[in-house]
Amino acid sequence: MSLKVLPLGIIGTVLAVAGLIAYSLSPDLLWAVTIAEGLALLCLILFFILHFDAVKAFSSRRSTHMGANSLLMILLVTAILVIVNFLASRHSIRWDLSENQNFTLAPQTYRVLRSLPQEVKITVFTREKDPGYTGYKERLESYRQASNKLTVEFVDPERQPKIAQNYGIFRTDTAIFESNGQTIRITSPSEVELTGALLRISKPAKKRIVFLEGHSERSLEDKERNGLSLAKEALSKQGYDIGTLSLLKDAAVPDDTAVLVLAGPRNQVTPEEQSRIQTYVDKGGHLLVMVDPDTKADLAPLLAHYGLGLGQGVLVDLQDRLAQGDLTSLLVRTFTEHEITQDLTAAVLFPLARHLTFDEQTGKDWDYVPLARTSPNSWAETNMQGRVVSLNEKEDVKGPLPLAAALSPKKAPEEGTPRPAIVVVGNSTFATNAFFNFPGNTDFFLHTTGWLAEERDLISIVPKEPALRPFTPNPTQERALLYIQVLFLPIMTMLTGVMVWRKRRRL
Amino acid sequence: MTPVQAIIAKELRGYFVSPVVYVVGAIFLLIFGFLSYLYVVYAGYQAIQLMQMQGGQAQLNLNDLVFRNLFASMRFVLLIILPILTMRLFAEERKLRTFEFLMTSPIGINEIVAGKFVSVFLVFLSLLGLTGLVPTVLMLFSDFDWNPIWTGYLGMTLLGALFISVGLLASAITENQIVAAFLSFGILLLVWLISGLGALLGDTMLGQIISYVSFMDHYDRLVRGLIDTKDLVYFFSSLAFMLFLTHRVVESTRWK
Repeated sequence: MSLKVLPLGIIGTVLAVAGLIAYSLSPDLLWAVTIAEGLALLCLILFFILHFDAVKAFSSRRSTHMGANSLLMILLVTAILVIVNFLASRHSIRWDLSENQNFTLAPQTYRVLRSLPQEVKITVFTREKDPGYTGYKERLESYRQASNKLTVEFVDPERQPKIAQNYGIFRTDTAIFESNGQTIRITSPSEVELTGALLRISKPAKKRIVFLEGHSERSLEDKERNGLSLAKEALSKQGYDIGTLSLLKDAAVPDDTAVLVLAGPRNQVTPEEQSRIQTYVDKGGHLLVMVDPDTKADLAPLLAHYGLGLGQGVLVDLQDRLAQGDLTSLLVRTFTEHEITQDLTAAVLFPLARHLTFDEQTGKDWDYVPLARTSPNSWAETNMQGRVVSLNEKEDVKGPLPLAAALSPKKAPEEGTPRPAIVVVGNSTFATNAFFNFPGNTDFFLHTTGWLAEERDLISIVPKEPALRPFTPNPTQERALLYIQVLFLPIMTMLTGVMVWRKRRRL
Repeated sequence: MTPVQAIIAKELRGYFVSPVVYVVGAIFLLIFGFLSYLYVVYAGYQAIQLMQMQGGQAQLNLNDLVFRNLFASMRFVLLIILPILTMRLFAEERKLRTFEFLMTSPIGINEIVAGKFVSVFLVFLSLLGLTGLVPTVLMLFSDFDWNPIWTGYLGMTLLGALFISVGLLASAITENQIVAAFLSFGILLLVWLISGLGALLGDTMLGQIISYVSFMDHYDRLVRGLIDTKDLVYFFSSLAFMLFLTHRVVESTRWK
């Protein structure tokens, strides 16, 4: 039998392809693949030698020439278009016509992006149906456009639970920033949060948050219900350095303290300590005071200096409260527009809280913003004996009442000096392990500490108001829309079609 | 009349005397109107729900709840409708044996391809123009921002042009109209689906390239109100590439 009869070309091609497939399936069998590819080569060479005349005739045919020519042109055009697109994607110009300027970043963000010292990896855990998805997608694309030091990855925690587990993600719409061994997590795609995280992660020195101790405060190490171990863990994950301080031992608050926290002191804070805290604040320090009702801490002298006061009694709310809970388990939903509260999406649970007061006269140099308020159906109950269900106009203070407030000086500080800030919350239980994982509580605590520890220039990013233009059609409008939008045009088109068809038939 | 104009006129006549364009047009307009109606009603319900919940931070406006969804859904409608409009362009000529006349006529291949493309594009543009009634009617009742709607229409126009060029190529390859329709539908669906692969690969080099090749992200940005030169370059270059390939395929019939 002559070799020419054998379909060598087909055998060679099949062997070559089979070898490649085998290699992709199991790269260990390299010897078998080498034999297959060698045989394929042999078959093809033999084919060309045996059918040389036919191959020559084929290659000299006009159609082969034209085909090769055409192929070359296609390759050339493809190459040109690839280059054009590559250049276009690297140097693009944008016009943001979106209703909310979603793609335009604040000048501060550009400044932060330009001065990023090292690569930052951002992993966003979100699903397409989640409310934050589009926000993350749009903003981070603009961020990446402005800096090549960012890598962004979107992970669907349902489809890739392993990655989500590795990062300890327990809620979607969370983004993890990683750089230089540090990680920071944020839970909202707002520009303030994103840029804040970038700013924090690009700083080599960790900011120090110090908790005051010595007055039976809630302990950072306590893993029980009343402890703050979860809050400590969350703050560490945000990239802060956490420490404790006793002003009975130390004469002053250390200079490297970014935030000083008084987490629910129960025993008296001595006047001496209070004056040390005041010195710290007056020098530009940031203070967070969380104080429960019925405490012997007696912080009045310190707070009165800034015009603040702690209201008597316990807040009772008939409206904003936990459904199964006591009247004093406040589920606060009313927040004032402020950097701390602007991204809060869930209500904050404050079990057993007190209200705050502000004296305009004493605190005239300070900008006072009540952050959270109780509902109009609330009051501060001064007599907690027995079951409380009604307001006693004579003794009780009628709501709505503020139970958290932020204070910052009206006057801008001198160049180079830090600007003091104070946040007072009439409750410390909300940050304890028992309540910390309540979504609103985590956010409120982290936003508050974040705001206090943050660089003040960052906070000047004006948050973008969501475009709120709701439209609810009434029945007449709905019907009109149905007739005009849904039925009118298609029926007219169909009628025209029928008319044309009839006219054609008559021809 | 230039040769291109002659081809356009001939094709348009062909379209408007056949019932296909009316049926396709009516269905297109029905789907566009019906979808927008559904989204408006749904947006109304959502507004009521969200207003009852305090602290709802969702964007509550027609641009976001109606038009963005509408334009996003129209991708799929275009994917089905446009291959039906383009399937006959070359396939019918081949079937009716008029293709040889066309090829032996003094009209160049460039002009043939351009004429056929422009004719379907004009049909598509007129359908798109008619859909303008939907935002116009809504404008009477409610308040929204027109800018993202213009960019959405720009996106639909560019996407439609790209789909038509793919349909033209498919129609040039085969003489069977059904095969041509399925071929263009298949190609477009595949390009659509690979964007999912790109998203899965994330921010890697390969992932970025794959996401770039798919029209999804480019169209999405336009729908969301962002005009980016890279998206315009993508649409125009892929359109040019498809027309060039069509030119090559048509010319290949002369090689024999």
